[in-house]
Amino acid sequence: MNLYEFQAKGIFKEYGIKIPQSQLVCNPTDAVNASKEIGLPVVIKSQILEGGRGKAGLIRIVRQDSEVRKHAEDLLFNTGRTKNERHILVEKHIGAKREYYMGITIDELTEQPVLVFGTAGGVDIEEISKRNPETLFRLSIDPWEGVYDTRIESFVRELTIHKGVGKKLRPICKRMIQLFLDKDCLLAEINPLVASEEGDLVALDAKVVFDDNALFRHPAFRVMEGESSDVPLENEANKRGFSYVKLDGDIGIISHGAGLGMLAVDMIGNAGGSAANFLDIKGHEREKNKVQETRVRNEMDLVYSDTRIKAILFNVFGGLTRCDEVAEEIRNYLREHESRVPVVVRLSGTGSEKVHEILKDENVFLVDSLDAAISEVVRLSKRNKNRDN
Amino acid sequence: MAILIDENTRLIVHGITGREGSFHTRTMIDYGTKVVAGVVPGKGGKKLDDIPIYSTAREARDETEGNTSIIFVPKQFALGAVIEALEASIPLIICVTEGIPVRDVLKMKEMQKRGTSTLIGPNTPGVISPGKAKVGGMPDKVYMPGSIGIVSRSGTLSYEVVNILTESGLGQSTCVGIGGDMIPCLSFVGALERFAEDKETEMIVLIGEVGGIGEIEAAKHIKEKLSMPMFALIGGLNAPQGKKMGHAGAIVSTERTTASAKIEAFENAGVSVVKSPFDLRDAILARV
Repeated sequence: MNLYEFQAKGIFKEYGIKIPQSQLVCNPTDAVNASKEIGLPVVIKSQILEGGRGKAGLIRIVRQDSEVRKHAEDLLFNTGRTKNERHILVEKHIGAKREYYMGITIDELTEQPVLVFGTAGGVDIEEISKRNPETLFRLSIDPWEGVYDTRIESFVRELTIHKGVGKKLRPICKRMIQLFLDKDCLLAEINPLVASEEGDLVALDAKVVFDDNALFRHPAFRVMEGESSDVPLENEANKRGFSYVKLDGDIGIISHGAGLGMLAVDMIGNAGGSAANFLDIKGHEREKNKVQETRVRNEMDLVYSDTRIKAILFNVFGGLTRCDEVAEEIRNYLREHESRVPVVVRLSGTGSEKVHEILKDENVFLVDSLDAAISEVVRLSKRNKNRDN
Repeated sequence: MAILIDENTRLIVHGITGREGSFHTRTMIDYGTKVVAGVVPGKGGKKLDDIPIYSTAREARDETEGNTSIIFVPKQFALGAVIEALEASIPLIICVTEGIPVRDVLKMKEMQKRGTSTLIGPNTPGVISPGKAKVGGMPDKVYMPGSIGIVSRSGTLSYEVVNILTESGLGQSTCVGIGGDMIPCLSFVGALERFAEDKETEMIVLIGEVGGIGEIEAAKHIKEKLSMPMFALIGGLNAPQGKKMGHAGAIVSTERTTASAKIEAFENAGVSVVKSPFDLRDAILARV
């Protein structure tokens, strides 16, 4: 789950990391008032999840009272994307003497959490690691113990930075590491971390990516669930416990098992069709509020609500998932809802011997093998498309 | 021979009384796996069918000489169950549970390093050595004994592959699910190393996907150390960048983690890369 800048900054503040004075507003008048309270110059920042806001002109430094309203309106109403965002952050402009990078993530090679500090911040970290890797320093983090103070001290001492900055940096390292572990983050990043004219280290930007698997132990984050995508269907799916990615085609896919789902997307493409989505049910256990019976219902509701769809492929190879249970739910669903588009059902694996009996009289195209399912659903989608034309 | 599990496996089921634990314990027993004990804190002394249940892994191991643990415990408690099995020095631990927080998995891995146990998963359907033992929840009727070793991140994709291979008379020595998580406890390389030592395994199929660098590491290992015929199938060729497709691990984030980067690395290492389970069958038949 990606957090918005203002949410990430809220957590940083909680952990004693300095952030600029700011107000989160959702209309131009509040922006004007905020700017007066904070005092010019201010920075007005669009609150969207995508990176590259600076380059896209979505971060504006405003030095005159008369300009505040105009920029606020522009960022609130004219940024031209489908989004949930209706906020902008009005922040005090901090004059930066030096810019640094600090990010904590999980190193893909060592498979350990690692704190990366860069002495040349303010630029995309991937660029820095390509062009100036000598400016990056790494501190590995034990997932049980975090990092002992003495290790943080010796790490900071090795950095090519001003000694005064080093003194302020130590507690920030410690707190960021604590935050990263406490909050089950996959990424916690400050870029840039600036040395202000007063000599403080301030986080000018904040990025936090939270581990969705840990939601059950962070009730405060549950509120934010289902808000992290630009695509409404993706958010809706997230709330219902699915993994859903919108694609460009017209064949809806419901798959149990991500690998098989991805294969179906690829095979549909190879067969001359085009997948409208990837959808995978996450988890096999019966969770408290998500009983097995409602899962198929939710999946089909979601896929049916996509008006681009000309045919649906329901593809399951059950190991831990039981096909007979899935078949029953499909049957129940189709009896209650009129099928707007043809549904191809392929259920193999655990419990599959009962599937034919359960679905034989229902309005579905029941197939045994994946390649038959793919060619059938592509054929049906084309036939359906031709009907519309 | 097979790897990891065989007729000598003595299985301890953690969470044996749960919905998943009980269902799959029975299918494993039907398959012929020796299930010797269950572990459920507080239910020591009870039984599931004929299987004795103990409150701790250590007791289970001491009383029954169990040598393999399978974890069917909900994600909130999975770390605790794995730690218990590690502390009881159970030589092989397979964690089926999906949705375990990454921080917990990192802790498991760290603890595993301090001992000698092999830890597989999480988020895996398990391991099966056809005709010998099944430790997990895969659809066992689909498998057939043979000489092809299979290692996969995706459970369901591996079922599809095995289904097609079995239909063509191409049997399997052992199928290992390393799981779909971002950080698997046993990597592709770990599985390949074990297959290399197995006389029964004559060729290996690796089923990977976008995200993570496990396949890149595997390709390096294969180039330097493996001479067996190798095939690879990579899922998610059409996955859009930056979007999470299913598994936490399948996030296409950097150049190295894309499907095409992995395909290139494998081809470079002399691995036959195929686009679908059907192509895989054809490629193997051509070889054989």
